[in-house]
Amino acid sequence: MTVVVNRKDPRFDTLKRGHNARFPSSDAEAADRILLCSSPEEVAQALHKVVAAGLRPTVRSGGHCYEDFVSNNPHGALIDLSLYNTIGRDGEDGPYRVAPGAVLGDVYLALYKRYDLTLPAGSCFMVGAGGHISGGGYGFLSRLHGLTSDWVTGVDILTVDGKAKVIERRVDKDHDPDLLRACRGAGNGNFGIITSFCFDKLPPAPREVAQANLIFDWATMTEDRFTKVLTAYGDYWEGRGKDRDTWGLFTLMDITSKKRGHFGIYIQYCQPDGTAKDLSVLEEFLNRFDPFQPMLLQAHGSLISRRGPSIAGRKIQKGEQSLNHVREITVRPALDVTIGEGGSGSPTRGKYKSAYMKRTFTPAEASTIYRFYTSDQITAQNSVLSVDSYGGAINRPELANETAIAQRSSIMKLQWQCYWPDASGDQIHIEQLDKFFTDAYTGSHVDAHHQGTPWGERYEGCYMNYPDSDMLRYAYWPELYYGHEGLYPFLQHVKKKYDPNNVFHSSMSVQE
Amino acid sequence: MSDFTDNNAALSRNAESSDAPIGSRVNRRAFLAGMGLGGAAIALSPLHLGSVFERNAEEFLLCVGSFGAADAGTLHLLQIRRGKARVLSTQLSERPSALVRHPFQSLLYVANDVSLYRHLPRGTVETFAVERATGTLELVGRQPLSLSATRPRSLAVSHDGRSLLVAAFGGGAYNVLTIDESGLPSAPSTILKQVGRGGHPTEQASAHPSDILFHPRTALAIAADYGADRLDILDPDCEQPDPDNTIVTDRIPCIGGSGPSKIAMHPDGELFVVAHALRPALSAFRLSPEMKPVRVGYASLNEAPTAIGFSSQKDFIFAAHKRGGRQALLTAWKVDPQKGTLQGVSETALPASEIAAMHAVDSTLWIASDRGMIAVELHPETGTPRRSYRVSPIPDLRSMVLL
Repeated sequence: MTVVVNRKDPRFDTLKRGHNARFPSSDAEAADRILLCSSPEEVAQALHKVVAAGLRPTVRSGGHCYEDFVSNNPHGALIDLSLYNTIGRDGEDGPYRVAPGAVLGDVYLALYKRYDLTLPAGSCFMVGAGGHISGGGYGFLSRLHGLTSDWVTGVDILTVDGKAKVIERRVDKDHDPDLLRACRGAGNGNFGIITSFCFDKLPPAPREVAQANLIFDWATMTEDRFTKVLTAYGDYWEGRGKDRDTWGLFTLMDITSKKRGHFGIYIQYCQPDGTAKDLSVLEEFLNRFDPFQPMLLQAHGSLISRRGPSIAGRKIQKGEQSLNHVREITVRPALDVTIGEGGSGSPTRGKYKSAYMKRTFTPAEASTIYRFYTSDQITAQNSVLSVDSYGGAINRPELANETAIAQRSSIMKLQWQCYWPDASGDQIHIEQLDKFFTDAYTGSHVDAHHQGTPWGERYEGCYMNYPDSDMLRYAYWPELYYGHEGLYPFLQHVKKKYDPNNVFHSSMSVQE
Repeated sequence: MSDFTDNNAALSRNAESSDAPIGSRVNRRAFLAGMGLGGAAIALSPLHLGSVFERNAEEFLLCVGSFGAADAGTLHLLQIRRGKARVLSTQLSERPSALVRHPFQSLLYVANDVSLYRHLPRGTVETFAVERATGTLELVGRQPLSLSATRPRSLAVSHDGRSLLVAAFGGGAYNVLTIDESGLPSAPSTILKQVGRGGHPTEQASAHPSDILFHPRTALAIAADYGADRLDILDPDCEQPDPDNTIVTDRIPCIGGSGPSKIAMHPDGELFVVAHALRPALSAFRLSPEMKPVRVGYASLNEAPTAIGFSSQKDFIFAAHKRGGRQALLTAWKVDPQKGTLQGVSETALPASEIAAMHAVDSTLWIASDRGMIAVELHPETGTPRRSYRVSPIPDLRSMVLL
């Protein structure tokens, strides 16, 4: 039975919110009702009623959308799928199925415990599968196994035809293959409501992973030294990191304000066979940073490390503790790492941006980042620039034509994040983060027609699962998110075919 | 100063007095209830309506909107005096596709036929103050429509001046904007996403509300959906709609693939005519006592109508037709207000290619065209066109309203 929560319901104020506390932007911007559905049948009935009444439906799985696409829906209806969260398999040897309301942590646990499998998805336990998978979600195993959407072989999806009829579609390579491709990376909020993801096969769950941290002291970090650290990091992914034997290596460089004392790199590694017996690839990566004398983690602890050697596991130490330059690698059960520290915290206000990089950092980029994080700007103190390794199995060129993820040449993916507690910070943080981002992509390293955006020889645009409505100011914003090889026109064609009345729309949905 | 200006000033004063006209101090339903009328299909006083729409046929103001390849959008305030037009002022306005005036305030609302506003996919409505003393328009506000309510093409203001209805052609949506006491429309208070399609594979792949107007004697609005081949009857006074309660009180299917695009209401409010652009035709509808439109007349046409309008003699309706590269055609039709039959009575070539809007004032039909303003003198006895001439060369006119 669909649960209807309207404005008079005491649950409304809690349930109207997304994880980004900026949305709904105001009480008036919130949907007037929330429909909590527990089955595909309930979703279909709810969608039918919403469309028949002329209301705009927005769809929520986990509620982690960075922009206002879901929570801002004035006078509309928010269809919440979080109660529809099954994970299983069709029969004993049929495809695996994940319902959109399942959160990633539960997906990992169920796939591991039932089938000894995994999904190369993200690290936040509470992110919903619906938006994550359909938008091309990725995570620590993606260099080894590709994107979540790369593994999708079918979806069950509800679309609305030209006569307002809700159509239940089971989409695969033989049925509506164009819609399947669109849902493999651009399926969130564009064409219909996905009620099930289908996977003919999934990668085996790794047994163990090795973890390490590299911590750099801002106190000794001149601009030249900072540039060298970034370049060393980027050079690895542009060069050695493309070799297949490194695909099990995933790193995350988190750059934060100088006022926080340090910044660092989190490293995770497992071999293609799912073990962490031979750590030579990891050691090689760590050695690269020896000239910069990374600090002992325990001296600074929890700020940088989201996962790390301070917890139990098989430890391998190297270096001289007395010099505070000890390096520690911890090998742990992969499941512990996958679900151990993946919470995404309480809702807070945030702004996000993204960039795909095909090349290492330029001195100009490094300089912009250095100046920002060594400045007194309040936004610098409230933000983090995450530089994720990318590529590997993601960059199989043929996938660009089979999925709706165009970026298949990038070696790093950047995520700008800024967090603040209340609405008084909205304007300054949004403006300063935007300026920081724009400055990073302004200069001779970006071609004249794309100044201010990560596009061109060195870049591959932005990631739609880290949506940034600031990009709408560029007329070519679809190119940033969907490339220039014809994917966006393809998506427009699919949109016109399966959602001719644009029932599913947001400020950044596929447009005519 | 024209008689009309005096009228309007009087109306403005009345609006502030204790015996204010409709809607200025009470809500629409309360007002109508106070008149002993109730429900959605209640009759308004013709006397009241007359006071709003009276004009001096010899001298009046008219506003036209233009946009085209060389013009991003302009409003032109014209003074019409004894059959001649004089431009009093111009004002920038982005793609003004529809104009409507407030019933008793000197305010003009403009639909901006845009797909993006501040980088978001939505249209907008501008509000202009009509400064009659100086003959100028002053922009006082621009209100975005709901997300995906793009390319608005038609506006209608409720009789009490408290609601502005917008038909968003591009995004397939209706928006209801509440008008505050100062006359400014607020953010949409009701958003109605339309879903539908028609028989034409490309023109009618989705819903395209193209024209909307209020019934002169009730609080209901009638809209034509070009893309979905239907008429929608709306009750904007409906409480905020939900899945069980929508402001759409009825949907009337039209002939498949016909593309209903324009509506003209007979001043008595008992009959209206719909122009069909894709399968060129005129359809006459009568309203049943339950306010359900029933088609009573039909006339097929050779060329697609681009604008229609009743004559001031009420029982004539004019249709303007686009004829490729040739001169546009004006056809006159005799309407039987009881039976709804349509009988063609005349055809007149016009000095333009495409007609966007027309209004009859006394014995003259004022026409906004791609080649300027055209006046068509009507025969005082037969009501048929007698002669036409261009009164202003302003090109690319897309909208018009009498002030």
